[in-house]
Amino acid sequence: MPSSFFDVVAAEFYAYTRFYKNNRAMMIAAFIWPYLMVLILLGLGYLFGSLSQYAVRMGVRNPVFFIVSASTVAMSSTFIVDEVANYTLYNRWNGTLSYILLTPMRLPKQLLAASIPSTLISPAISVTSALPVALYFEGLRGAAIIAALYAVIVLGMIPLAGLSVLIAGLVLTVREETNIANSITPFLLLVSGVFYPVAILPKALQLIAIAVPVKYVVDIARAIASTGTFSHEVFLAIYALTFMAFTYNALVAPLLGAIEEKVKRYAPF
Amino acid sequence: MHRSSKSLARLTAVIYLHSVRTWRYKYSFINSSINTMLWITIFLLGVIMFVPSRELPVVAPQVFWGITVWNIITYTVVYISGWTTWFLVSMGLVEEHILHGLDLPALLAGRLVTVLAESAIAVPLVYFVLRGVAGPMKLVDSVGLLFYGLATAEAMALGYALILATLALRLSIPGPMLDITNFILFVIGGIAAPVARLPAPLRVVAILTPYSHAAEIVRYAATRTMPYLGLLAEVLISGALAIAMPAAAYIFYRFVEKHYLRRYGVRGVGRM
Amino acid sequence: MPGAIEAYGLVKRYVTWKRKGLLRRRKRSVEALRGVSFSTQWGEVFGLLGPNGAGKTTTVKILSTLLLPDEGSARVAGYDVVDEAVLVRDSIGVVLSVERGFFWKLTGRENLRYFGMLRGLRGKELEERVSRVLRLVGLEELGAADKLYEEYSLGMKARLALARALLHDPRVLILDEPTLGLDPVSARRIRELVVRLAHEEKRAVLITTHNMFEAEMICDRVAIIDEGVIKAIGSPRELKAKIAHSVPIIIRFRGDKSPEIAEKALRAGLEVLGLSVKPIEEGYVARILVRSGEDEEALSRAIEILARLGFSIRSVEVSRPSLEDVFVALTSRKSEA
Repeated sequence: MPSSFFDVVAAEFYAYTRFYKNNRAMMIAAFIWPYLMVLILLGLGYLFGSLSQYAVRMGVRNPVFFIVSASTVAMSSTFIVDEVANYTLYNRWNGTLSYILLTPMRLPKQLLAASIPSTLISPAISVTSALPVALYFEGLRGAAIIAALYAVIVLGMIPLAGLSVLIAGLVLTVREETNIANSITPFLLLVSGVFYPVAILPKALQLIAIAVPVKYVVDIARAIASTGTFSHEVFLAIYALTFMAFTYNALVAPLLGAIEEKVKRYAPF
Repeated sequence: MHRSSKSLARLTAVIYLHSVRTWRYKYSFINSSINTMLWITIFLLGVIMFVPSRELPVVAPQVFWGITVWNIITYTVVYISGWTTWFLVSMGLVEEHILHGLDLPALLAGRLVTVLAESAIAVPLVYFVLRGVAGPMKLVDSVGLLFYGLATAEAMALGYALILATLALRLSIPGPMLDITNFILFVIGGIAAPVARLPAPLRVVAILTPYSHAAEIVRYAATRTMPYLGLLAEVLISGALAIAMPAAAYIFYRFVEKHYLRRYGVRGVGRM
Repeated sequence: MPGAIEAYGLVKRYVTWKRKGLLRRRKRSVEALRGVSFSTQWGEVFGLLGPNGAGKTTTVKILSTLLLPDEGSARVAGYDVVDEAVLVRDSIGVVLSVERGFFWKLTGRENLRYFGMLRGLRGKELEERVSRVLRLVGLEELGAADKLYEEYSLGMKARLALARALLHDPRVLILDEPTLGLDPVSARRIRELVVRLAHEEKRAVLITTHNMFEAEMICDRVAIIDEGVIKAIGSPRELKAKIAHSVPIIIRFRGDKSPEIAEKALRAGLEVLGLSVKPIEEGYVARILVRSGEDEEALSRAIEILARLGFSIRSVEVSRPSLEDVFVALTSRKSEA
């Protein structure tokens, strides 16, 4: 019986949840990570300067809640880019990639379907870890902000889907032990100004930032974490992300066939 | 064959191996350097948002060297203890090295070739980014002391990494996952910031953190920031720890080899 | 000269933990070896045969100093595996696995150069030895010596593992399933090399294998191990004789005389455990049951008797047991193997 896109998503969902069920230490680590980021930034900020200075420069009223939210965004907003490549690498190490690719589905579709569960679950774990802080500072409104943050993070990953598959293909054709393109994700975060205003970056990086979806996720996160409301700018950013989701994936689509052919010709399994 | 001649051949072998591997994994290696630089830059720019503009020329070199020391320590731990569990054990190479008479710590110490090469690329890149944001700054005042501080930090990190790698062989948990104190000690353990800047209770934590002594020397060598315990005391303490930690790690490994590896075997190899 | 490998009463226990609920664990001791003793000679290929989990790899690891025995002792090349581990390691070449144990991003030659240096080899001597073993195992002629290890086929990996074991010219070779999963050409090359190293160069070879055909072909003596106990030891011929008390000989023949004359003559001329001669479509068939070990002599005698009586022989069958029959008869967990 031919497998559908949803069969693959369901199978991968099962495998991913089993993984966390059987590796509770990983689950705990996923909860703790955003706080380690917060610890570094707040700790260094406190030692070398002041929180009030940060609040003024960033234009936020609650810098601690903002940094927690920003850390969640930093952890999750580019997750899909690394996840598709890492999924591919992980299965190659395990020797399971050939079996996964035996399903009749096209390679790009297969890789995307396989990465959907982790792309949805992992940011969910990250935002859930921010929930106690949100509840503490903002009460129930904080919980709503966290839910909105999650939706925006997921929306922000859609324009990156095609790019993710391209990178996974690249990783497969270069036989190295790690994801050789994983510096792309911190670059996307760097130009998006996750902990600082984009204005402090050099002009060239600011121009690049306009075309990076993560920047709009950061803008929305900053706006809703700061005011707790959906302003006019938030809606503009959502429109921009929707536009990018269609445009970027349409632009990348013709390349996916070529990368699939290259991967199969190279047979790096 | 004469013992010293054999040791020299082994030392050559270890350096040869790690140099060739670093070259062959060049894309991963360069990517990793850039990755490190980008993450450090993201945090650095975040931290600068807390600092009043007039204090930047003083604070920036301190932050830079704090991050440099941390980078060397972290990558030593990840590259050594992670490589042990994710590569050496799963590839059956632990047993092959025991058979060939090379102690695992000697093989792992060779990973410093990769660590130092990566830091040599990442750290200057971070400097250029920092200079772009905070303006030109003087980074070194005493080259000798700077080298001493960095070398002792590296030796301590090597000892710590070897202990984690050995523990990982025993506990079946990857070495880097055992390094739970990394981020916490960076902030409160006197690595990121001068010990004197820390609140009083945290100074005790910092003094008890081995790396802080090396970091204090590095900061003095860079910006003349006087160490909390005084320069001479820090030089002596750092030197002693730089010898004691790798030595303790080696003794620990020999103990685990005798009482665990040779008693129960290395995990993941053969069917016993 | 001391024996090549001498093992006396080796016992090895592993402790395993069985999880009971979330936090509780129960300790369990598993005896992998329960008093294993054997010895091998110089110039001999000695096979250690057994099903999975029988204790073969544990024995190999103890003999190559990687594991300490809980009881018993062993000497390899005259050195004690516990107290003189360094001297043992200098005397042995070991293949633990044919598909692991090398660096993927180094070529075959670079891997050997590295492991040679660890043995203290340097300069010209190192290069000469590396080239020699690469030629010996056939990697030079395959053009694979300077390929990255990650590009090797399983056969090439096995050859490289054997090359490394020979690099420092050891007197004892310990090979744990060196032909596992190999194609017939690669497996044959390794078998020929192993026999040559033992018979011509007088090295001692201990080999573990599941392949009974291989063991029968190359091993001078074998030990069958199961559940940590040596069940039988001897040459393949001796072991086969041990399980087969009687050997059936079947001779088809024809002639003008009656079958009763043939039966009477065979009974008179042979020492048989059982005998019957019956007519078939074209002539007669004689089924003769003789004692194991006497089958060859009985066969030639029977042919001689029938020929003297004027019968012409059409075909002969001797159903001797194989080493596989011995293995199956002696090991308890056949299905798992």
